[in-house]
Amino acid sequence: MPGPSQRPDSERLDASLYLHPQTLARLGSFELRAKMIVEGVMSGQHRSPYQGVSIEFAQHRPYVPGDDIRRLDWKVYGRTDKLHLKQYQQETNLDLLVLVDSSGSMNFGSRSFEDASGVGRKTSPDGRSYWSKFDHATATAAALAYITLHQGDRVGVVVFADEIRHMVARSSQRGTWRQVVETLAHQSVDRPTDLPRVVDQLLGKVSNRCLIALISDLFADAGHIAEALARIRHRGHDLIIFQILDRAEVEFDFESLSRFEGLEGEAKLNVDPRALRKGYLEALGEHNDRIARLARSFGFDYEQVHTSDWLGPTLAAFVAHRNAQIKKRKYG
Amino acid sequence: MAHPALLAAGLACIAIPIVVHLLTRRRRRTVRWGAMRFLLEAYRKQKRRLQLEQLILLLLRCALVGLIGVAVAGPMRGGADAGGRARTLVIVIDDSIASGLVGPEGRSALDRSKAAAAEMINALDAARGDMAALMTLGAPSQALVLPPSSDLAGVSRAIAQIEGVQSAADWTGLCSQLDSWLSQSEVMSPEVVVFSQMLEGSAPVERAVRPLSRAVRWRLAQVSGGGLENIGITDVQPPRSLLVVSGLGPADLASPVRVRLLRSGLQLPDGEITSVGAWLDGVSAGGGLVEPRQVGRTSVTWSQGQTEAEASIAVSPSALEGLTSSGVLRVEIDRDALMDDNVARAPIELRQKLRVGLISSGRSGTGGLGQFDAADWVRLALLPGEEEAAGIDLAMVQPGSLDRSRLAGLDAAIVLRADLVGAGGWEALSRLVQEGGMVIIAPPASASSHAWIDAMIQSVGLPWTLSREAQVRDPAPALAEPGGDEATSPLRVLAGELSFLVRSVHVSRGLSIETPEQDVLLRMSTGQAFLVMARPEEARGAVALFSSAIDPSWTDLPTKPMMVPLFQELVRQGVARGVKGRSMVAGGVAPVHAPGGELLPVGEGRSVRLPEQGAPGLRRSGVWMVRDVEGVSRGLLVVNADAAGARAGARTPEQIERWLGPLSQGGLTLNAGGEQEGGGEAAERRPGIEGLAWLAFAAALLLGLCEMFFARLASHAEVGGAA
Repeated sequence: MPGPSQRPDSERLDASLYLHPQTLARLGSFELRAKMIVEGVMSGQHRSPYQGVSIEFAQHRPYVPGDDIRRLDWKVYGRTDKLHLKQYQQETNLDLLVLVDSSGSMNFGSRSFEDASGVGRKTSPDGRSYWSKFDHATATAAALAYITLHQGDRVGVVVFADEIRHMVARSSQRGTWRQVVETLAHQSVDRPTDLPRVVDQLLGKVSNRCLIALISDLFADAGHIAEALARIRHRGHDLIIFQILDRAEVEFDFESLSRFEGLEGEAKLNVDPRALRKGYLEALGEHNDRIARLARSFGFDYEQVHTSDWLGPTLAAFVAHRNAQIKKRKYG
Repeated sequence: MAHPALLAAGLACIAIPIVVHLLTRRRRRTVRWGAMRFLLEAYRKQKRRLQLEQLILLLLRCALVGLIGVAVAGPMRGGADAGGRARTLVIVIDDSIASGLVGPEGRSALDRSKAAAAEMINALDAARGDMAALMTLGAPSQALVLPPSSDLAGVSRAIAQIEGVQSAADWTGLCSQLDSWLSQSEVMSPEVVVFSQMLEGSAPVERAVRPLSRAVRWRLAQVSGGGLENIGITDVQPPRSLLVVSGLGPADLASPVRVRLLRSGLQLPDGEITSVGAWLDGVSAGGGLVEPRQVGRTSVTWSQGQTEAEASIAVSPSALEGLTSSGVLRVEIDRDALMDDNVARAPIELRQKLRVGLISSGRSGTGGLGQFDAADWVRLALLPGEEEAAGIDLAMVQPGSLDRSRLAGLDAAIVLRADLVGAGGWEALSRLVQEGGMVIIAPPASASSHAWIDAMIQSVGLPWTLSREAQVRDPAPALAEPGGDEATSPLRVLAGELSFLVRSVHVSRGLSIETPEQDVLLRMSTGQAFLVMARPEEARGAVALFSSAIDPSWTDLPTKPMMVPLFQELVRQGVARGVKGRSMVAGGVAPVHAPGGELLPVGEGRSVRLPEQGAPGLRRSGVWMVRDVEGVSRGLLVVNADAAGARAGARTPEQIERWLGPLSQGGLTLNAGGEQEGGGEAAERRPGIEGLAWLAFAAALLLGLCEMFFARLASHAEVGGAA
């Protein structure tokens, strides 16, 4: 399992582009937990106990603050003077599928790359000088994958636009992290979004219930989004929605006459943005509110993530919120 | 010249929208936008409102540019003040008699017009192509500089040399000359600027003006000075224009000098008194005026609103003593705002005796009353008393031997045996009339058929038609009281008694005469003409014709009291009408026929060369001696001021616009504010135009601020730039 100190052998695969040390430092103190117990292939279709009463020992892992001390392996502690937890096969069957939107609209960004990356680089490896929403989405996806792999769970990554463009099969093997990072680093960001079609393709390849993390700006028809969410719910999967937005999209504070060109082939518009600001913000707000209501209606979590924020605080707030929900379910 | 800064500012303003457009294009940046669906949705919802806002902005900007255009074009209006287009001005200065009205400040309207016109000329720029023409309005209108000249200094000098005349305004002549020039000119947009007070006299709205063949812009630079009152002499009628000194009797002086006065102005108060005096100026052989003698004096008291009056001045016989030849009767009234029409003159011819020829074959005065023939009756009428005192010398001329030599030296001829006059005789008589003599014709009583009529009509050339045979009237009708204008009638001296005298005269037999109404002096109660009189065309003298023979078998006139005064007046007034002295009103055509001759001033004035063809138009009042090309004196010519043209009443702008409407198809501007509005254009009106331009610029600036505010409002930008 790759640790935080492990670095890719090429610049393109530099994990620090996606997992800034500051981000990892914040995430290291939390445990990502699924709100539901994933049914493993081995354990059939019934729900496993949360405590992880094991049928088959899987591995030890280091203790991190927040872990249940009842599951500490005291024997190992007695021999090595280090705290380790015993993990069983049931517990390792938390599958996380990260869906990363690579449609054209994700290629927008108003923040400079140098400011966002935090490592002193002025341009991205492909020459961009701005930090796009897709950059933020891939960083978020990598962070989630890293945390999940660090906990010994399986992670898969799906990059999509109007269809599934690349997919990394779920795995908890050592090379998974490298595959994930490499996949995220080699994606073109264009083409329109067709979420229902992507969900159909995805569900056709996933047989067991898993946790799906959808990372997208969700600039699609709300009806199509509702359709996709309904299918995920229908198949019993859990879903975490990360809506990636840029500060300029949220505030729309352009002052001068501009020519707006859509990134997904929409019409071009010459307009004084000040004249449309109010109407635009209303339309965007109404759309986001509808997405939030949809997520709540299906029992999914919804989190709005701005590219102007660091990944750490956003993910930490989300994980904390997630843990609270799980404990609430667990203890009633 | 236009203000250069004004022009530059105007042009710069026109460039503003272009610059704004270019800057806007430069500033418009391209944004590759992800959330396009929400932007398009917002745009679709607000599309109509945005378009409306853009339309309002567009209108505001158009108005802004338009206002700037007005500001720039303003100075160009009315010419090329803004500096681009050359101007062609036709300056018309009213130098008519009305222009001599002196205002309270002591300056005449003409002086103010000249000053204003000079300022306008000074404002022109020959380098830009400006040109000016100069015309005067006093009759006959004169074109001093036409076609327009670029020698503006020369035009200014010509303006300075203009002097007032005593004739009325000649709008007809002005328009005629303008039309003639316009028909040949290629000047695109000439502007006629008239400097005048536009009073009753100078703007005779009762006379229609003829439209010009081309549309021309007119501007009336109405010079201030109204509100004055003026009294002028419109006519002077001496008792006779020919006075026979040796025969001067009560009848000669019974009729006074008649003077007609015209009062005009805004206020015509009651009780105003005008003193009228008459003088007789003798004319020496050398052409000078001898010491004047006062003839008489009277006064006229005006009532409220009264505009016309007539004064009569009795002539003192002593005033005529010692005069031997020609003279001028001069009438003067009190001084007022206009001096020119306070004096009027009339020529008077003085003779020791008149020489009258009786064309008759009878042996006169040999028998009693029953054997008297026409010549006897006429002799008794012309020489009622002692021959020396009558002032008339009679000469008998046989009709058969009548020729020019027999008529030489005669002032009048009375043809009593027309049936015996041959063709040569009639030609001699016609010649006498041509040269100013008086010919009186009466049908012969003895003739049964009057074939002489054809020869007579043919020789004298009058439009009369006479019957060849006499008609017997039974009962014999009496003569009717004469009608018509007594003032101009040859019998006006008898006017007081004529109605009494004609009643006793009956006509039992006579020829039928058909003649124009104005030729009839006396007619019978039945309407037929009894005595007609006319002046043949181009003749100085006159012809009188009785329809009845001077014979008791035809009419009892010879035996009636009317016989003597009738013949006396016919001879004296008839001869007077042919005297050499002539009078006219300034602005008219001189009634003289001396081709190549000269008019020599009697007293003050300048000599005038007479043209070979036609007659000169005289614009100034005065007395001239007419000399023909051989240096022979042809009598006096008296020119009086046209008092009707000096009426000082004001015309309203509506009257003037209505009157000059046909002239001003190219536009009419009436500057009713006085000379500052008119001639002061150069120095005073131009700043007004520039003031308007600056006002327009200020409005444009205000509109620009409105545009910026609305543009800001339409952009929905938050105040303070928080957006």
